[in-house]
Amino acid sequence: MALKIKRQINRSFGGTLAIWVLLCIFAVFMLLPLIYAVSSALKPMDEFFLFPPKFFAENPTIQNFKTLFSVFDNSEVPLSRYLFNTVFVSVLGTVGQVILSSACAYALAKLHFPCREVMFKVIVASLMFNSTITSIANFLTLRSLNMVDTYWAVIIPSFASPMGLYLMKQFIEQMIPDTLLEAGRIDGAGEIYMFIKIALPLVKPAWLTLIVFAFQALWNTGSTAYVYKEELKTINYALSQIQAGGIARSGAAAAGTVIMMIVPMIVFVITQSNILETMATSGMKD
Amino acid sequence: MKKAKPRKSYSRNEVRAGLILALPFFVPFLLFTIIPVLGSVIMSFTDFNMLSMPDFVGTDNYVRLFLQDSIFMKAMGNTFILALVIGPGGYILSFIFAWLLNEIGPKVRTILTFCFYAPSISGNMVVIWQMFLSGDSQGYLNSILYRLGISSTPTIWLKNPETIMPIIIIVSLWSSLGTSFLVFIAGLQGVDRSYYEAGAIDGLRNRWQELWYITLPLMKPQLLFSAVMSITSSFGVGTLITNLCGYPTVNYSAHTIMNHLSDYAGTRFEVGYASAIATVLFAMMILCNKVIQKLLSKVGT
Amino acid sequence: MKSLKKNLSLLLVLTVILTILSQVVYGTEPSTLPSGNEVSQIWDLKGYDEWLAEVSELEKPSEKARVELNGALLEEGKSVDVAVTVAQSGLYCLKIGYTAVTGDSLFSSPIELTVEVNGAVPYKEAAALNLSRVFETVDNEFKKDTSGNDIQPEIKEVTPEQEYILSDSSGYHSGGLYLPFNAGNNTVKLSSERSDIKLNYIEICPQEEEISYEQYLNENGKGDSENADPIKIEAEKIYRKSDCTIVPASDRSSSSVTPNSASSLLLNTVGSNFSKIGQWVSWKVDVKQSGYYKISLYAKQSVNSGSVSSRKIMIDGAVPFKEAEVIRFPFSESYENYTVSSEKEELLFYLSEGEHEIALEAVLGDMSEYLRRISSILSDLNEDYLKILFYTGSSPDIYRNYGFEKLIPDVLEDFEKKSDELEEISTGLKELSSGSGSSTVTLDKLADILNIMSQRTDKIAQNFSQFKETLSALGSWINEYTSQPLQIDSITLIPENHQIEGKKESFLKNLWFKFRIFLSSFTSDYDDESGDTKQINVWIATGRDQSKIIDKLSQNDAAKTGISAKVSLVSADALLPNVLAGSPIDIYLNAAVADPINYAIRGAVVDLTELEDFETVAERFHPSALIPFSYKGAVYALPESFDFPLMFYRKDIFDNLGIEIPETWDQFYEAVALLQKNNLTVGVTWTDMFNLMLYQSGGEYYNKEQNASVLDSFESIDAFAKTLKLYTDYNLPVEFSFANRFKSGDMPLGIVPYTMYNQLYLFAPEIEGLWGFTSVPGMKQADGSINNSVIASGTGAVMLRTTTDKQAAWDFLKWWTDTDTQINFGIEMEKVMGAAARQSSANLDVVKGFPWSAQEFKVISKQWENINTISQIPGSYYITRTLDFSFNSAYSLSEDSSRALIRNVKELNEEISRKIAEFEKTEE
Repeated sequence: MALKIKRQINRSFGGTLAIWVLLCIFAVFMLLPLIYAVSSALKPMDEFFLFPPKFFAENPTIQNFKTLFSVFDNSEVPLSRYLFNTVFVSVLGTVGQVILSSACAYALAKLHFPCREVMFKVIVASLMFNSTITSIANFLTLRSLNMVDTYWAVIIPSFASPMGLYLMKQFIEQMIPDTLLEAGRIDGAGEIYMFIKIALPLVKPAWLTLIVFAFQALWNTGSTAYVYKEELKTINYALSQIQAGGIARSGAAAAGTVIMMIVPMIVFVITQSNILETMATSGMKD
Repeated sequence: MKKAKPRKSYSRNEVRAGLILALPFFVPFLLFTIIPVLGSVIMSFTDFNMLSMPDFVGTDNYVRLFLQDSIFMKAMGNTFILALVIGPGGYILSFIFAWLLNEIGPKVRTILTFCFYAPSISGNMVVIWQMFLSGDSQGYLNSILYRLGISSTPTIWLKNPETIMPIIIIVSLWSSLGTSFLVFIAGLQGVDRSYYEAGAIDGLRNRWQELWYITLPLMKPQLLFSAVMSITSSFGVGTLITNLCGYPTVNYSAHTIMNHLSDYAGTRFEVGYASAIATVLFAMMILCNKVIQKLLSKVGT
Repeated sequence: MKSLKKNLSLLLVLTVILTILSQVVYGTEPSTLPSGNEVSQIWDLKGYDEWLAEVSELEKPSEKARVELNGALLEEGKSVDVAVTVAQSGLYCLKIGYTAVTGDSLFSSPIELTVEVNGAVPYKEAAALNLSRVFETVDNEFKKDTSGNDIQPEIKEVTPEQEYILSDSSGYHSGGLYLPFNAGNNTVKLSSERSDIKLNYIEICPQEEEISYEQYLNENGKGDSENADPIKIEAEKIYRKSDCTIVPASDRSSSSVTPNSASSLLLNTVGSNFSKIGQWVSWKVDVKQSGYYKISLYAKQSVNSGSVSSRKIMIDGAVPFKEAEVIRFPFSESYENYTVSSEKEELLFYLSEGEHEIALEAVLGDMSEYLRRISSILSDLNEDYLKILFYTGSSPDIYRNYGFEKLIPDVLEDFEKKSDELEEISTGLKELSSGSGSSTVTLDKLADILNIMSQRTDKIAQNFSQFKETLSALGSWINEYTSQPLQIDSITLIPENHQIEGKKESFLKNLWFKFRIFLSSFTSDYDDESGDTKQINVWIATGRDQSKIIDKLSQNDAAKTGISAKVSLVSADALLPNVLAGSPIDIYLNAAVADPINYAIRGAVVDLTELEDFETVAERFHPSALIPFSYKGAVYALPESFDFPLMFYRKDIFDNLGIEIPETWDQFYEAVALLQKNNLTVGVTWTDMFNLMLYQSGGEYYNKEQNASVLDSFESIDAFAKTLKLYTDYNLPVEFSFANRFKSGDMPLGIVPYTMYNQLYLFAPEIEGLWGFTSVPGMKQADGSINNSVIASGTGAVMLRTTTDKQAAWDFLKWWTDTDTQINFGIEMEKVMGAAARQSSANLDVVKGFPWSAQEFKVISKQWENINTISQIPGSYYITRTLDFSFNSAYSLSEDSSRALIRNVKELNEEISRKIAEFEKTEE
């Protein structure tokens, strides 16, 4: 007789209700920046600079979006190319980062080979170092590899994300019991096979989360310091340069900001709803 | 007391697979993370100014940093205060909210998670706070205070040395729902349901006990990860301050080590000195990290 | 003989009697006149409608009188009196025959005239007459640049004899306007506000009506064009136009626009700037077979979603018939075939064999009457708003009973009246635009608010800010609907009785076209391989529009200068690493004011004084413009932008309260007190104030040797204390959003950088014409003169040490800072983004070339005589924080201001010495 375990063990109704209310209040508060960004994009110019600003546009208009598109209409490099650049860089970078991080994390977490401890410590230590100075060194490295002003200048550095690796390693440690792997080895599965077929699916929440971070970082930065050719720029970079055109471009820039937000949001929603797959069983009973 | 490490024999398969899986990561890592860090450390012993070849000056930079730079001392103080409050504060907040969200049903959870993570995506949270805290008499905070009769002249919140620090703390806490938050959510999902069942059978009576005895110990790896991330980001607070209060903050009241670093690197073009600052910061963070690790190992006991 | 004499004397007596009678009956016009050229009081004159209502009983005789002037030159700023005699007194129209006079540069300023009759300007439209110039395209075969894109064709101004009928430049009234003339002698005075002009003749005549379409068809008889072929004109091949900002543009949004190419930008349409009332464009057409033709345009009106763009058609300079006065182009997201038709039928135009000129002029069409009324409603409501503002300040207390019924009963009455009128207009507009209701939302909202406020005076305070915002929205609305954009791809003359398919937009074709464009972005060579021009690398870190325009200008002039610039738009932090690594960058534009010296002391930029004819080039700029870029005798950058503060004020508020515009600081403080009494305030940033106080009393930032700061000197401490007092004693706001408060009337006076003009233009359309700017107040000196110097600051262009060809890079810099190029650049920026993108320059001739009004330019050039700049020395980046810390400590923490300043200046000087030592070390 299987105990039909609902999640609601040890839960009082009052407690749940209180939690609900608290969360909803906070959630609204957290949404303010988003609402503000969207409403700014919809404001006509005579409301745009109002102070104190309003959270909702009085006479919403899509003129800002139209202006934005017209700016791109007459450029030598078409909007579709910028879009392609952004997607290319973001997707490639994200995929690369997730794969490389997961692979290395798995190796460090579950496999035994020389220097494993040292490698890991080095990686975690590198997380501690953040500074604007590293960008100069990166530039020189890229230059000597002749990768400046190409797509790879953005993609390759993003592969080496210590944070991504650390994240994956911790999750792998938590969610994959050694015994599972031992069983697999006994059954004759190869190490790499086990990595791909057994380990990865088990840490789905982890790499879904990593996708969000990696994608967002790539989508938002575009390594502006290393790319100069117009046809290689990402949309984000191009949009930020529209704002720099002066006060007359404020409306179009606000519209651009909103468009830039939409894709990471969609990625976020998709991945989050997939994290909900709870682990029914781990396949092993100790 | 040194623990004797049992020398495990490495199975050839594992070693081969391990190297195959790990090396692809290490190549870009070496190139784009290790080399810059090493370069930075080396530069800290020079007087590089961004535009001409550096000259070796030995430990001059460090001497100056610790003995002659009063602003650095202030920055250290500020950074520690901020790190002590924001680090654990943000960490605990992220966990609390993640845990609270975990208690809710799946559909609503996605929506609420989205709401909480939204500021990080839209990236303009500073703007909202600036509006609220504007020194303009029509800024939100000032006009509310005026209407309530509390103050009749507008306070310039972001430029008053006395109010800047508290403001930074509040805003940082509010915007700390980022990486750690999502990681906790994912981690909470990863806790095997069967443990809860077992716990219920064993006699745990409410959520809090469940939290302390089951959830937290099972999430130790994530807790550690988020702790490290929190330390990194709280010690690295700098851009937020610049965006909110201008650069540098009045009387250096909220000047952090990162601010000091970018000041020397970006404004004064003294990259060698800035590298020294970065190295010192690095050392401090590693130290803190060790301490945190010890603390976390005690969770659940 | 005797009878002749008798008759003559009778005639004389009659004339005298009539003259006397006319004087008695009609009197002379009241003179509420602008004195001299004080055009700023235009807004005080009454409008045409009001004036016409007053003189409506006057006759409109059908007499004509003409006075030849034989090309007399009327210079800018001067006026000429012309005597005109008519037999009958009454209302006549005025025609001016003129020839334009080409200015110094290609961008000749607009021709603006004022007309007075018998000593008075009758209505405000008569003080703002715009006469058109004519620009002709030199060669309509477009040349190509090295990427295969079309280059803009050259245009030149031509000066044919033209005739101008006195009309409303804003387009609100169509047709000629009446002027009052007495029987007998009259004096017509023509004054030129802007531009020289040659006058050929003046003619007084009755208002002319076009013939109707039936009459037109009758007059031209039967046509013979059945066997003719349709004639297609590509709209981008402009023959002549009234405004040099109307240029062919490239549009790749649709594959149906011809000609098009997936791999390069071809000029294929005209019209993105063809939207202001009064602008016209003409095309030449060669007709083989005389007869009747229909005119069909393939065009797009996709900007004004609620309204219609209108055009007037002229054949060979004249409107053929009445129905051609207003041709409507309704809104459409995509290109459409518009065949010129009246309500009933397609219109036929008779064209004889040979060459003809077909022109389109932008007019307001059906909307004109409504726009006129709304515009006058707006100005009345602005006045009403002010009346309330003076009692309540900009944030009225909603709990207080102000007693509006007693204070402003006339305003409440006006609200009611206007509310009804707005509702009426709104209904009329809804019928007119039939369908898109968006156009009347603002009107309805305003009518609502006015209604509420007039019925319930206790709701006035609550609705006050919304009232203001809706007024603002109304201002934008008027601007939107006054603009008549239309983008035209081609014009086809279709012979009578033919039916043409016309072009069609196809979604699939467009998609395929866009895809081909996408693909070719991979194969196109965006690196212009220059060929026989030297190519230099120019980096710029500001905006996309700037970089594209610079690139275009460089391409256009490449043949002349021998240099073509490859402009890369980068982010600011990309520069230094690249210089370090030795990338071959030649020029960096728009460097912030402190950067050139920062780069220079580290050896990253070239000393420009070493280059030949530097002296000549330096003379282009204001003498102090080079100071921030000079150090120890070397100059490291050429100035680009050059911004300085001016004093902005609300004319209507100042007039209403009877305050004079301050010229000295004492008067300024008086004005502050007066305004504060009326619940208003004044805006100056403390940095500006400090600079003004310091430099006007002879202080400085640095000492002569340029190795220490003298901000701890007596003058400086005094200036600092005075600055602080403004905020602590006079209670001026420290932080404020000037544009907002100026717009709402809360801050009718402010000292801000004059580029605030751009933001006001964009953000405050409803107070257009109600504000102006003038020079800042000054300090009275011992000898009685007033020193009102300001501090200017701007960006600069540097030549990097990594340049591969110093001479070519220098040639580029010379070309770039040349007057014509800079004017061109500014005009191009405004073409794309409107007056909100107005540039500033350190070269006064360039500023003159921008579309400032004569009045505005006078103010700028007056302040130009008194400008200083702050030098940059090693360590000067520290100044911002020195002052910032001092001020905020003194203000927020109430620290003694001199103590705070001295303390911080000490740190500043330490930093400066450190930096100078560092600099000297690297010099070795």
